[in-house]
Amino acid sequence: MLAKFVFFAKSIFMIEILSGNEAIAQALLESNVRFASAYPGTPSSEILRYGLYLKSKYNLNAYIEWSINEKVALEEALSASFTGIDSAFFCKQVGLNVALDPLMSASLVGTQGAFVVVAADDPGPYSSQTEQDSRMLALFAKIPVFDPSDIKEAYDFSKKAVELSRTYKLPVMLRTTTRISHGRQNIVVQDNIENITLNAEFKKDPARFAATPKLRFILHKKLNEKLFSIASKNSLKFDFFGNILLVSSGLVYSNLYELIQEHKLQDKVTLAKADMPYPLPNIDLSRFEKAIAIEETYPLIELQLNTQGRRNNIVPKEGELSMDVCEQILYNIGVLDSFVPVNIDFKDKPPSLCPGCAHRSAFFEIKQVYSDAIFAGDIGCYTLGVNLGVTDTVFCMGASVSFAFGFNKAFKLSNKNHHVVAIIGDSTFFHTGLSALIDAIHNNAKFLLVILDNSTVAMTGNQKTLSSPVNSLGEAVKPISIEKIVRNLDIGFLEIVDPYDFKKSIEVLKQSKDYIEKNSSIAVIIFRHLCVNTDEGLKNNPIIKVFVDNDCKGCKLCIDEFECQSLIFNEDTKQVEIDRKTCIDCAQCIYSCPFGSIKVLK
Amino acid sequence: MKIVLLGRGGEGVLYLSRLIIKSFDGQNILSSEIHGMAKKGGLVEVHLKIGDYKSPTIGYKKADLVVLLNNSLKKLAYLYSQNIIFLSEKEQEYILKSNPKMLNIYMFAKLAKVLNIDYQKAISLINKNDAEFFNKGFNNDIQ
Ligand code: SF4
Ligand code: SF4
Repeated sequence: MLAKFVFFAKSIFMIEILSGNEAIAQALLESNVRFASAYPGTPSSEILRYGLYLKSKYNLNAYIEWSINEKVALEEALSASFTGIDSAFFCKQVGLNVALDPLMSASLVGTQGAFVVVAADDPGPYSSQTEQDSRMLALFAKIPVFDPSDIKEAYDFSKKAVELSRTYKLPVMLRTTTRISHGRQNIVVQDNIENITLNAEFKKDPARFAATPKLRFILHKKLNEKLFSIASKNSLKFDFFGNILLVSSGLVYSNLYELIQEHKLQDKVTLAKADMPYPLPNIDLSRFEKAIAIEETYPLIELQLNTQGRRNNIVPKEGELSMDVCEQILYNIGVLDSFVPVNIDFKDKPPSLCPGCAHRSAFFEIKQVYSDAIFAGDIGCYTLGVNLGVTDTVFCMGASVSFAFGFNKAFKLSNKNHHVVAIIGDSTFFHTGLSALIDAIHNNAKFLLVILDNSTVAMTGNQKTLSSPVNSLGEAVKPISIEKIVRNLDIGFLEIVDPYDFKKSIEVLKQSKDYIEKNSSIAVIIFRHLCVNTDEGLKNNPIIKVFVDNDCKGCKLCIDEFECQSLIFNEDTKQVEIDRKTCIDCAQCIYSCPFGSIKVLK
Repeated sequence: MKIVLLGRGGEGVLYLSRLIIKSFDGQNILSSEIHGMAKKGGLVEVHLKIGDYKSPTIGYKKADLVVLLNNSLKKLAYLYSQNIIFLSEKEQEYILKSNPKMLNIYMFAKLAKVLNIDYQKAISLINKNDAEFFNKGFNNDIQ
C-alpha cells in the first residue's frame, strides 16, 4: 500500500489505494465499530480480513472474528450493539438469507450502539448461486440501505451508515457488489485509528428486547415512524438536464454517468442518483418526459417511485448491468443514435479444481465404489465435483445432508433401494451440515456422509475453520473436532482417511457400503488432506513426479474421469501429456489410467 | 487510460495489477477485479482506469490496451481492444523453463517500456531478486 500524507487542519490523513472491502473495514473502524462478525463468502470476505489487519496494526481493543454461520454472526454482533458497542456484520448476499431471521426482529427491536449490516451482492453472478438484490431484503426487513457507486463512496457511506444507525437506533445496511468490493481506488483515509474506551452496559427493557406479540405491534409502529423520518430527509441527486430521467444507484450509476459523458448525452437525459435507495420519500418526477430506473438487480427504486424499467422490459431482468448492457439500454430508449453489439465469441473452459487437489482424489475414489449413487453436493471448491460426475445437486450451505436425508426417505417410501451420498466440506459441515445430520440420525436415515476436510475455508481465500487451535490473529482458542462430534452422535461407522491413499480409501468406501446395507443407517467418512492451494498444504504435500509413457492410447479416460487440469491432450501426437507449468507432482493421476501409462518417474 | 489485464489464477495477474497501480502513484486510479470460482487456472480479469473516470469497469472495444498473460485468452482480449501486449512463444518457453513465477515481472517490465514508465521507478517497485527478469523484459532480451 502506498501512502501519501495530506495535512488538514487537525488530524492527519493519507491517500491509500484500497479495495472496496478494505475501504469499508477502514471506515467502520475509524467510526469506532469495535465488534465485527462474519462468515466468509465471495465477494465479501476481505472486509473482515482487513478489519483483522487493522486491529493488529493499531493494536485495537476490538472483537473481530469469523463465526460459524451468518445467523450466529449477526446475532453475536447485534447483541454487542445492545450493550452500546458499535458493531457490524458482513456477509455475501446468500449469507443474508441465513441471517434474515434475526435481522427481521432487529429492525423492530432496534439497537443501542450502531449496528451495520454489510451485504455483498454478485450481479452476473460470478461466484454465487443467485444474483439476488440485498437492497430488497433491506426493504423487507424495513431498514435503510446505502448503495455506493464507487470505492470512495463505499468508505463514505460506511461512515454514514454508522451515524444513521446511531441516530435512529436502527440496523442500517450497506449494500456492495462484486465490482465495488473487488474494485480499487485511491482514497483519503485517517492515518491512525485510536483506541476508545468501551463501556458495555445492558439496560434491561423486556418490552423491547423480549417483546411479546402485542408489544411488537407498538415496536412496528415506532419503526415505521423512524422510517418515515429517514425517508423525509432522503432525496435524489440530479445531474445533467435532459427530458428523460434515468434513476439509478450503486455501480450502475457510475456506468451511466461515464457513458453519458462519453456520448455527450447531457442535454438528452437527466441522471438521478439515490445514495440511499430505501426508504425513498414521494418524489414528483412529472416534469420529465419519462422516468426509467436502471439498477442492479431488482426494481427497488422502480417500485418505490413507480418508474419504468424492468417491469416494461427496458432493463434486462437478469445479469450484470455492465458498461455494454448500459450502453444497449441507452440505445434502446432512443437517446443513443447507434450501438453495435459485440459478438462475444469467447467461451472459457469450465472452472476446475486445482491440480493436485485432494477433493479430486476423493471424488475419483467415491465413484469407483458408489458408481450408481445420487450425489448430494454442497457449497465450496468441491462443488466442482460436478466435473467428475460426483455432484448431482448444489443448493445452499448444508443442503447436501438434508437432501441425502430427503432422497433416502423418498426412495424408502417407494420401496426402492438407492445409494445416496452426501458430500460436504469441513467448514460447511459446521455451518449448517451438523444440524441436518442430527436430524437425519434421529430419524433413522440411511446414507453415506463424506466430509471433505482440508482444514480451511478454501474457496473464499483460506480462512480458518473451527477445528483450528488458534484464531485469525494466532491466539489460542478451543479447536472443535469433527470426529468427536460425530462419534458422540452414536454413528456406528466413522473412518478418517487421506484421499491421497487410494487403496485405503477404496477399502474404507467399500466397508461403508456394506455397513450401510447391513445396518440400514448412516456411515461417515472424513477425507482429510490439506488444501494444496495454501503454503502449508503445498509444503507438506508429497512430491512424486509422473510422466505419460509412449504406450498412451490417447483414450482420454484420465482427462474425462480424473479431470486434472494438468493432464493435457496433445493434438499432434494424439497422446496425453503432463503440463509441467501447473502440475504439482502429486502422482494422484496414476490410478486414473487403466493401462498404467501414467508412471512414476524414478 | 484504460487497461485490461487478462490471465489465469496462479499467474500473478493481481500482483501485476498492483505494480501497475503503484507506477501511476499520484494519479486517479479506478480498478475492478473479477476472479471466478476456480482458484488455479480460472480466468482472472482486471480493469484498470487511470485518469478522470467514474466507473471502475471497461466495456468491450473500449480499452486502450490489453495485457495478456495467457495466450489461451486471446479471443477475449480482442473483444476489448486490437492493441494487445502478449508474450511470444519464445518468451513464454524461456520464462516457463527458467522460472515460471517471473511471468508477471517480465510482463511488467515490457509494459513499463511501452507505457514510458521511468525505469528507476518501475524497478524500485519490485523485489530485488526479480531484477534479472525485469531487465530482460525491459530490454526485450528474449527474442
Ligand atoms: S483451493 Fe484448495 S480445496 Fe480449493 S480446489 Fe484448490 S486445492 Fe482444492
Ligand atoms: S501429478 Fe497428475 S494429478 Fe498431480 S497435478 Fe500432476 S497431472 Fe495433476
